[in-house]
Amino acid sequence: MVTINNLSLSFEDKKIFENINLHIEKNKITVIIGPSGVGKTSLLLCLNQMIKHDAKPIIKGQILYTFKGIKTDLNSLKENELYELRKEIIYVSQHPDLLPLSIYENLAFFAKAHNIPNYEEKINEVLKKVYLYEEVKDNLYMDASKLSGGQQQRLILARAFLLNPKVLLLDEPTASLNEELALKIEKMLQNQKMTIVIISHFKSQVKNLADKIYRF
Amino acid sequence: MPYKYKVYKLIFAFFSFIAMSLVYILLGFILYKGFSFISFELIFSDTNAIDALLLKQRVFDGIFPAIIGTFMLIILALSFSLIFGFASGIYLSIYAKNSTKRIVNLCFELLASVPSILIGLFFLLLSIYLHDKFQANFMPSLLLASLALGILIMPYLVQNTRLSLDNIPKDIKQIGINLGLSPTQNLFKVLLPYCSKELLSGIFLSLGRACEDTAVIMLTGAVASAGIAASVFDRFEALPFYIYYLSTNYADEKELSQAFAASLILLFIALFLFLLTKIIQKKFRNYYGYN
Amino acid sequence: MNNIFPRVLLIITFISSAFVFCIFLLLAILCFDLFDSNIINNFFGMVWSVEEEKYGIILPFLGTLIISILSLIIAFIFSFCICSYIFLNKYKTINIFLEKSMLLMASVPTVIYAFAALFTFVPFISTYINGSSTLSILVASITLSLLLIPTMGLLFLNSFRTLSSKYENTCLHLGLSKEQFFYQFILKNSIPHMLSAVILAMARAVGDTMIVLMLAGNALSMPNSILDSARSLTSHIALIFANDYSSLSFKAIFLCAFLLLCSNFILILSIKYIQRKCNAI
Repeated sequence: MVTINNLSLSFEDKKIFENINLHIEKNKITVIIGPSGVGKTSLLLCLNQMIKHDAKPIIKGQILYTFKGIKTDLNSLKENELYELRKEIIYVSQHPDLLPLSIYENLAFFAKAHNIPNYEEKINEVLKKVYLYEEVKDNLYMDASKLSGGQQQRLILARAFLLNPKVLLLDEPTASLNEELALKIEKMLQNQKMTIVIISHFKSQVKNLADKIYRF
Repeated sequence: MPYKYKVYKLIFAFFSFIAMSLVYILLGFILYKGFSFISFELIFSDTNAIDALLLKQRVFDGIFPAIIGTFMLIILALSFSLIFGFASGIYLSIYAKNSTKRIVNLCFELLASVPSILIGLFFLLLSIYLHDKFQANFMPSLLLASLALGILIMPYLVQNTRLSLDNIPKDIKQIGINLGLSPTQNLFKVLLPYCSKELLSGIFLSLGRACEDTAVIMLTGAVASAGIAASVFDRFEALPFYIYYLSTNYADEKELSQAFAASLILLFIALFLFLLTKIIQKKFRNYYGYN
Repeated sequence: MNNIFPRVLLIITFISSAFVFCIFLLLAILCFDLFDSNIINNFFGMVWSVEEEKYGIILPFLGTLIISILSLIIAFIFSFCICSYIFLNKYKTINIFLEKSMLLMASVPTVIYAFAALFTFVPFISTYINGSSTLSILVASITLSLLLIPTMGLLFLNSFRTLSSKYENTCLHLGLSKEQFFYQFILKNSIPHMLSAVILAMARAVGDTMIVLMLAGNALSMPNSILDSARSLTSHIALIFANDYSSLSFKAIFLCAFLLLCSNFILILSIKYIQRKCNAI
């Protein structure tokens, strides 16, 4: 699905990583492991090209992906096409980034922006998928910032699933969850028919989930 | 629909262009006319420039008294409001409790919003009242106008002082306290020196605001022709009022050209003061790592 | 020493903050004197003439209202377009130019705007648009709007940028374009801040004297169109006072002044109310 050839990333003063070669297979789960600060998140941000948004990085190498039917190098895409790329490759951050809206609106806003039909049903579906539905079903119109850390993390996961991407990039998706919930989410991820890339620090999670492991 | 968005962006660009054109037409006109008319004769009229600068001879018909009047006015206004502005700003930032802060802040915001002509009116009425009661010499004068202008610029000084002190990074604020200084000593030895440049920029901001206001001085002592005020109890001339007066009452081409020259000078003084403010703020922020 | 200093500061602060009340009280007291005389009916009439002892201030009040609202509308359109364009545009040079121009506009004295407009806009409008007088509401409003653009625009831009710094990355990660983010999120969520900015500009418009004094014509009659001449409360006060301050008609001016002050206070207090209600974002 996505082939990374000799990818190197550096900023003006700092080299982040060099010569990464990785093939992410379709509908399989790839797990990326490695010590802190080595550039795992930056690699995912290269995949959805958000690394270029706030800064001017020097990127060498290729990221090949079939975008709009053509196999393209993502590094060469122009800025005005990037937002369409990000409808297909969605990154879920390890720190929940919610909009200052209610729980329901946080999901509905993006559904409306992407013209997803029947989004009301789909919102309930994804909330059930991440095991959040039971906890929030009576408070859907409550301010989302009042949720606990674990609930917020599940909410942003639900948000990504709502938009049905082709490639899902998860940055430590279960960091704030207790063991039981983490296992449930892991099982759910295994049953998804979606290309998933996960950054994880939990050995057991890596063992359970990974179809392929990449060591940084 | 990207097409809709492109149309919107075009509309935005169109109106931005019109707004910019309007402004630059006005400014360009002042620059053009001002530069084509400005000359030593316009400023000093028939008097020798050096004699006038050394205040040996009085200048009639020139803009020079107005320029000096403006400078005297803003310096006096600053000296009246400096203590009040700094003291209130320091108190609000360092010593005030939250409830007091809100109320006092509200007072200063209300004061900042008062139309300048009402401030002039207030002082004029005050002077009439005091004149009747005490028969003291409180008529419209440089003193009265400076007081009024001081009240006008005071909220700016207060806000600026308060914001400068509030924006000092927390750890810097704690240094003095951790080393055993009392809040007052901390203030004088650490905090004020740290943001001295910001405070300076606030002073220039207030001066800029003071030099441009016309309505206040119109009611409290500015006149069209009085020479340089010999004492603070005299009437005086000032650039903004001079421009206003000439624009409605100009007798011939010469007076109109004086108005243009005066506008140019006033524009430059105002822009210079505000530019100074921005430069000090920028240099200061880069040096100390403010964000 | 350590106790005296804060006390001294407190006293000074108290005195400074009391000034605004002094102004308010003085005007209020002066107005109360007038409320029990029978001239009161005349105040809210249309006629102002010293000989007939009629002091109707409705006309200047209407003038203030019309000129402020018109200039506010024009300024809003301009500022909104400028700030939206700055936000959406990619070319940094144009953005820097627009922003620095707004800062420049904030530092130009009002009397210079009025003076320049007197010799550029006025002849232009009277040549191409036939009105009953050369100095009109239209000219004053356009020039006044130039004064208001930096007041509103810098606040709009600030609001857009704050929201952007907090939420743009989230929305971009999820496949929205910057334009979508702007039109579908920022606009809706900046409304409280934009409203405060507009009210602040309104306070400024209502209180401005020089532009209206020099450009709106100062006629004391009911304007029929924006090409007619009109007078505002501020220019009314300025004219009566600056021309002869020892006559007795100026007692009626106190009502003008009081009205002006009250409207400014109401505007500022409503800003505070809005800010308190919408502090979430």
